[in-house]
Amino acid sequence: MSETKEKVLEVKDLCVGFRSHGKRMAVIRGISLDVYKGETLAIVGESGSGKSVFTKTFTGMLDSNGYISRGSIMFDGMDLAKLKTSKDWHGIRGKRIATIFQDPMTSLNPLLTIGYQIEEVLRLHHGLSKKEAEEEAIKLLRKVRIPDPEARMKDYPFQYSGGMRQRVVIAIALACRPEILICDEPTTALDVTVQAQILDLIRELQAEYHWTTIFITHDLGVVANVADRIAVMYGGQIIEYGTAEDIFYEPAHPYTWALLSSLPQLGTKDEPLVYIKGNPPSFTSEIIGDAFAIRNKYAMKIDYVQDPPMFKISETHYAKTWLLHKDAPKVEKPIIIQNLKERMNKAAKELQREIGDSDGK
Amino acid sequence: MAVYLIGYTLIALVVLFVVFVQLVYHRVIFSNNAKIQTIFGHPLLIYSLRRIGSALISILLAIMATFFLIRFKVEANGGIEFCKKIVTNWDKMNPTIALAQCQNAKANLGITDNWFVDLVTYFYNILPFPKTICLTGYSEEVIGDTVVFMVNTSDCRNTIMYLGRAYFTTAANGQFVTDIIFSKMGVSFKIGIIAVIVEIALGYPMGILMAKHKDGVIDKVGNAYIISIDAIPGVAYYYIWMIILCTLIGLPNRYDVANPLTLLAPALTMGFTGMAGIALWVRRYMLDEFNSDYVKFARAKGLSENRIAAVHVLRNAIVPLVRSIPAAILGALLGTFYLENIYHVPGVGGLLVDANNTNDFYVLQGIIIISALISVVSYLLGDIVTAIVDPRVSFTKE
Repeated sequence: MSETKEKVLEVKDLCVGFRSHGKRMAVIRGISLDVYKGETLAIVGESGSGKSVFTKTFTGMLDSNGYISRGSIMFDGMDLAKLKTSKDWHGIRGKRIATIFQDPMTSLNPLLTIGYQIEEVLRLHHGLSKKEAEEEAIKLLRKVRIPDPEARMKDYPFQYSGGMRQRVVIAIALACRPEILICDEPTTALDVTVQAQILDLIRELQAEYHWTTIFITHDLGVVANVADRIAVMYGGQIIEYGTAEDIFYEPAHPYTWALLSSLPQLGTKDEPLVYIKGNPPSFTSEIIGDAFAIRNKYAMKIDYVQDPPMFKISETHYAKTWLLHKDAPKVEKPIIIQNLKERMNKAAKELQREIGDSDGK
Repeated sequence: MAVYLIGYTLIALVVLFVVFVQLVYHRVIFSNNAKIQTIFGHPLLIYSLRRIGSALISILLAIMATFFLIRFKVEANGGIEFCKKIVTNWDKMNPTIALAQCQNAKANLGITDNWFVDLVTYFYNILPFPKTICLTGYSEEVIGDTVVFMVNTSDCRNTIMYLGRAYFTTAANGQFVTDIIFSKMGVSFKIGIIAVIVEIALGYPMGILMAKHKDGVIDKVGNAYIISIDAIPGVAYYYIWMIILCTLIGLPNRYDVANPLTLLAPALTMGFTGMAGIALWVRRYMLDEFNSDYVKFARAKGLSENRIAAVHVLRNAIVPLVRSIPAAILGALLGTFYLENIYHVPGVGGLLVDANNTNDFYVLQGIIIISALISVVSYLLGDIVTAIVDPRVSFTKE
């Protein structure tokens, strides 16, 4: 990543809160992040880390009890954090920033034809006529490799398989040539071989249309295949970010170590599966100090008192842990991730073979 | 003769049609003709025919059950109670003549000593194909001190479906049951159909608005209305509407054939109360759909909230609701007893109660048969309408 990269999205000190039963909870607690044009950024974290909420602010899709309490999201000279009504979002949401969701089984309206659901977007954002929209929709379906698109336009979602539905969802996202595509766990509901096909498809289309992809996932295996840069989220904050190489081979935050150690793909039969003990933090009470401290065996006294700042490790790599402070003691990373590179290569080869096998059948 | 010709032609056409559809569906004929296959081999058509077939069986069972129940009542106490009712001046008459008159009246009602023959005759009478029905007319003459019973000429009539005659219902004595029911149905339906239109035209928008502005003012007012309609007994809110519509607004409150304006008060009373139930379910299903993933994705597509509500949510929300629309429309034929009572409407609702109170069993049975037919047809139509709005519904055997 060179410094000349153009920023497409610039998030500064973003805080998001939720009102619930008269209480206010801070769910996103001061995130600053730049997203560069054309890159693939992966946001990883466990359930409840706030990764979905964070990206929802880019399209103004927070639930009705959610609100941005502080910070800015600069996109093409506009502050997205300031947009309120759906009229404000017209021309941005769905057109310049598109989202695809986790579950392709339910993302499409069961009672409308596939063709209609694609044409709808084209007519809304590009003002095409019915006939033009139809032609364009057929082109899009062909692009996402739906066989015999002319005939399948008239079909309903229940006549499509899960993988095909996700392709349709991608076609809809693609329809408006978005500048940013947010993929909220797009492959979680699909089986492994279909997952790989969908990821390939997203990557290929990205190369053709030069958009920026923001991948939200809890699956580091998926991330390893697609991401240029990775941001790791925990407790409503980004605790470490850097290039894929930085995160996989030089992880600096104990939480990232724990995440990488618990990748099932990296385990071998004779060692027990590593997992992170404890639960993610609850947002109902204020979090003091480092949110990960209570689950962290490397935690120091200061972790319980004061939230660590973002330490710079290299031009591209930052982490939010007191371990990087010059006064901190030197600690050893877990052994399992010290030889991560060769384990990763091995796992990748196995996956390749699996996919090759099932393709051959 | 015309009725025979038309009737038998129609029956022949129906039978031919059913046979033709079955043959096409099972690919015995026209197996290579795609056009005929898609029209007459359509699963929906086959499904409908099957449904009608199985419904006829349940209707037959219902008829048999009511037939025997009524027979038990007629034969109670050796049949004397019944004769006393059916023959006027029973006590004053010569017992032989009185009994003969009772026998004749029973024969006209289709009551002989053989139950089985009676049942078969009854089925023959109600099966919808042309037949001539003859009844012995009689008159009473006074010779000296006694009332004498005289048999006159037969009264014959060509008819398709013979449901018997009314015997006790006041003001309808001796009339054909079909005539009475159909004329009263006309009145009930006029009111009922206006009510259904009001219900749908107001209930759906009310439910949609309440769902769109959940927890807003409209939702709160609407909920208050729905709860009050639910909580107050029908007797009370019919009168409340009667006071509002007739006393305050000044609509006529007594039914009059000559004045169509008199339909308005009962119809609006029914419509305004019925719309509460519709709004409740529309709101509920709309809210369910608003939380679904495809709505989230539709928002991410950048569609406006109005478009999402109108195109995406409403379409899904009405799927479980449209099934009841044919039943509501056809149900309007049967009227509502209480409503018709307070507005003095001579509808089917009142007839049923009258017939029940006076043991006028052909009228009773006629209403039962007709309402059974109506419910069967409305369920079938409900299924068909559901299949039209929901492409996922399939009628083929899987």
